[in-house]
Parts: sequence; C-alpha cells; structure tokens
Amino acid sequence: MATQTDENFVNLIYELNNTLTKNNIIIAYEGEINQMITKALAAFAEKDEMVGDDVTLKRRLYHVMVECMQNVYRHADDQSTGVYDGHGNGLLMITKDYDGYSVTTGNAINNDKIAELTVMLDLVNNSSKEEIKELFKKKILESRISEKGGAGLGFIDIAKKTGSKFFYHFKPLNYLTSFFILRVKVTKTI
Amino acid sequence: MEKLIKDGTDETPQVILDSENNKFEISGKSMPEDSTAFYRPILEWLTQYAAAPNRETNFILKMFYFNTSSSKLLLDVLFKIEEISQHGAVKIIWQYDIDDEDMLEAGKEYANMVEVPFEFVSYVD
Repeated sequence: MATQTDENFVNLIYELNNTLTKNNIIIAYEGEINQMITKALAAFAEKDEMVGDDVTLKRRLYHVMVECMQNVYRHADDQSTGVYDGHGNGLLMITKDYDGYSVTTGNAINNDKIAELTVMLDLVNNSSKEEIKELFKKKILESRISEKGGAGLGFIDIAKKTGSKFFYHFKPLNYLTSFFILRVKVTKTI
Repeated sequence: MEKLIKDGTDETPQVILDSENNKFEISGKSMPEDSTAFYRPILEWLTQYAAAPNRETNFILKMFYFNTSSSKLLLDVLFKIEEISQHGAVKIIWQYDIDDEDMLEAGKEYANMVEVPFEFVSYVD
C-alpha cells in the first residue's frame, strides 16, 4: 500500500517524465553552474551516441553549451540580493528539435543589467551574418578580458557560430532581480 | 632559452615552446576558467623569443575547441608571433579536423587579422 508521500513522489516523477518527453527535453539541470558542471554537461555534446557523428554540429552544440553555462556562472546574480556572489546558480536545458538542438539557460540577474543585455541581444538579433562577422572582428580586436574572465564576445560569437536569433525574456522576480531566459538554436546549416 | 612545456588537460591545451628543437605548438582544448592566467606565461615566453628568434619559426596551432575568452587570448598569441616576423621567417600552420568547418573558418578569420602567413592543413580525426 503506497503512503501519501510515496504517491506524491510517484506523481512527481510521472509528471516530470511527461514534461520532459512531451517537450523533447534531453537535459535539464538546475543548481550551481561552475567549471566542473560545465565540462560534465557539455561532455554530452561530444558523444556520437548522443548527438550523432556530424562534427560541425557536435562542436557547435559543445561551444554554445559552454558559452551559455559560462555566462551563467560569470553573470548570474543572487535572486534575493541582486548581487553576484561568485556562484552562478541557474538552469540549463537542452531540447532536441527536428533540425538540431536548443540550448536554454535561466538565471536571476540584477535589474540594472536588463538595459545593457537588451541592447546587446537586439544588436546581434538585428545583424546580418556579414555584420556579425564584422562585429566579432571589431570586438575581438578591441576587447580586454574582464575580471570575471569574459571577453564580452559571447553573444556575438554564439550568433556567428549558430546563425540563429536569440530568444530572450526577463521575468520580474522582485524589485531587484529578474529571471533572465535565453534560448539559442543550434543547427547544422547556418 | 628555456622551453615552456605544458601537458594538455580537458580544459587547457598542450603547449610546446621549444626554441632549441625548433618546435612550437599549441593544441587541444582551451576553456580555462582564467584564460588570462593560462596564457600569460605563453605570451611572456613569446615576447622574449621574438627578440631573438630562430631563423625559421613554424608555429602549429591545432585546436580542437576554444571558448570565446580563449579566442581573444589566441589572437594575442598571434600578435606576438607577428612580432617574431621582424627578426625571422615565421609561419602559422593551422591544423583543423577535416570535418570541422568552423575551425577552418576561425583560422581564416585570424589570418585576416594578423600579418603572418597561414598554411591550412586538415587532419582526419
């Protein structure tokens, strides 16, 4: 005879399984994202058994997963204080689409960052393939590595490699922070 | 000049900077947590080497993967290699997996940014 707790647990697993399968979610991770987690999760993209043997697609997926997770661990702020505390907490989700994969991250950020992120993401989304290449060249020549280790090139580089537009959204959490959702599609052809 | 050798790891490339044996190579994966710290000794070594290089320097770059901040540091490495050309012949040998079109593309982009001849050589993984 299942207890109430058992039943809750069984329902949870059943619903989770349904949600994952219905939405073609092949990886879902929530928690601290650091270098070790990044390597462990990105290793998925290196396996022929998992993503097939198309080298370009595999490397693109690997690259986007690494960049997106590094964004989280370098820039995610604490949900309640809005301050970066050296730990990037967030969500990573990989879905399998008919023509490739989608990489989605979700993390809290200080509302002060929304304007700058919006400008950058819109700039990239509204640029042609050639403009992105030029932008990348300009930025890599003038950029300096920041204290957090980023080159400020991440979004441009992802757009250059994937040729896809970013989907993004900021869902307000409280008066200090919002939940920043970012999705990138990775396909074989640009 | 003392050589600089580093074994590759799952997040840093193998580095061979050996002027005595005329062997110069960076190969593998580059996604260190602190890319500036990783590349600093390499850049310092190259600064010293550029002042009195060998007659001919063939620099092999055989990257499997590099993240965005490493791409900036690799450009700095290329600028250092460019300095070598003031005192000796220098060439970049950009080796790429024949099936990895993005790695070939990345090499071509670098070739456009620095004044050093590039030779593109594919390999089969």
